[in-house]
Amino acid sequence: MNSEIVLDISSVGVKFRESFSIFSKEKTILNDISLTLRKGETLGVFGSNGAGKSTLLSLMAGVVSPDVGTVNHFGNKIALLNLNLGMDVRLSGRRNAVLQGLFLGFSFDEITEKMASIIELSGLENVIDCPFYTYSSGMKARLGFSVAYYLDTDILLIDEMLGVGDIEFRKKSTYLLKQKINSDQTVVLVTHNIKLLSHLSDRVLWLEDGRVAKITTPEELVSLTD
Amino acid sequence: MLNFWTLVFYKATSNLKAESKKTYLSFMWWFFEPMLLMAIYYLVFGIVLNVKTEDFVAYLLVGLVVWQWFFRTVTNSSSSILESGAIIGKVAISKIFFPAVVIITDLFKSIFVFFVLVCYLLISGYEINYAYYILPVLFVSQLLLIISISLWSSLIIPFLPDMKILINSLLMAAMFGSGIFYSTDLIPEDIKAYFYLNPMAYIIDCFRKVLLHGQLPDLIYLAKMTLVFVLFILLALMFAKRFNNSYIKVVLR
Repeated sequence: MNSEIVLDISSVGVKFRESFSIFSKEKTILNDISLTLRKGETLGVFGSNGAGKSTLLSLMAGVVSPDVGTVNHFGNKIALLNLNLGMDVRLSGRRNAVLQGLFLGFSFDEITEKMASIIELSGLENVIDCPFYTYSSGMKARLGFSVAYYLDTDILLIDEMLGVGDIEFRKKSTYLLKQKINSDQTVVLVTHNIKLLSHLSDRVLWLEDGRVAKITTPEELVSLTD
Repeated sequence: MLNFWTLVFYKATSNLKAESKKTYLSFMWWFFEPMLLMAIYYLVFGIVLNVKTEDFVAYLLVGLVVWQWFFRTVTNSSSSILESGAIIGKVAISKIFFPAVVIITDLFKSIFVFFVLVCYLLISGYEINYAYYILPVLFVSQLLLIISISLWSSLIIPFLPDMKILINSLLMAAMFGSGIFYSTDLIPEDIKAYFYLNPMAYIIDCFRKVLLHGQLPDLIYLAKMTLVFVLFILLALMFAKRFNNSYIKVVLR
């Protein structure tokens, strides 16, 4: 693979303090992580609970800064796939969709342009201008998914989320997301589902206690965990 | 950067919209609420207590309106980052966003309140005087003061939650120290210089001079003070930039 590098993480460490006291211990969440992500690839992240998977995604999303080491995203737009970003139940579905898009870093014009497709995918044409509190949680998730689907970021970070809503929409969204992952979208995927991970990833990063235990192929992951 | 401000304004107008939908009279309340407040003060001080100081009600109302704008914005924004919740763990956004939304929302509401205040003054016999032209300057100066205090309190509280209690007490002290409920003529001359070190006291005084007496305030003093506000804002912005990604570590625990 010789495609362009879109994200470079080099010897990064992240620590959190355990309580408000300045004398409290610092807990190391990530330790000496190095990896590069190339355009179009899908990186799976695997590890037990508390291994630092979510923190790694936060680090990539630019929400957490490294305490040591560097993260370079080369100006690429990176976002966590998120279904209810800053949603306000008092507002209409349409306004919430715009808010979510703005939070993802898109301009008002870009969002307006995609609005028709977003509403169509969500299947909420009839209620899009109704207040959000009248929506069921499945409907909210559908709108959130549709916004995230149509507003493309250069690197998509997915944390344990494939398929939302009722059975029919779950099928549709899982299918669309898989299609997106298999396209030349760059994806970092975190899930405990080994089958899904080996099926979708090009490479798998195995985290253990905040360290990179190994970077393997999906095939090797399956044989190792069997 | 442009998208950031679009988001701030979109969120602020969304808040206003959402808030107005919670009541039957919706946005009419932005007029009625201050009107009601002013009517109550008029009843209590103007009619029941019949305070004889030259038009104490107008004096009181100007002080209150100016103070309330400051008080409301600082109180609302001080916990804005602390209570921003999960969102700061999900998007890389400047934490300035949260107090900025509060400042814009409250600015918008306060414009209505000022409008009602000027209406009250005109109805009760005051006239628009030549000093009115300085009002926008006073308004901007107070806005800068509000921004500087709101930013600092919202930025500090996530790291030092105890400050929230302290800030409430400080606000109470500032209210009594700003000459809202008593005539500033009662303050002994030798303390007056110190009294006006409190920026709220000085700005309230400026508004009164213009609105009630048609006098221009000491613009040099005002300019110096405003410069300090701007400096505080710049420092707050630097602080926010430096510690932007530290908030997630303290807010989400």
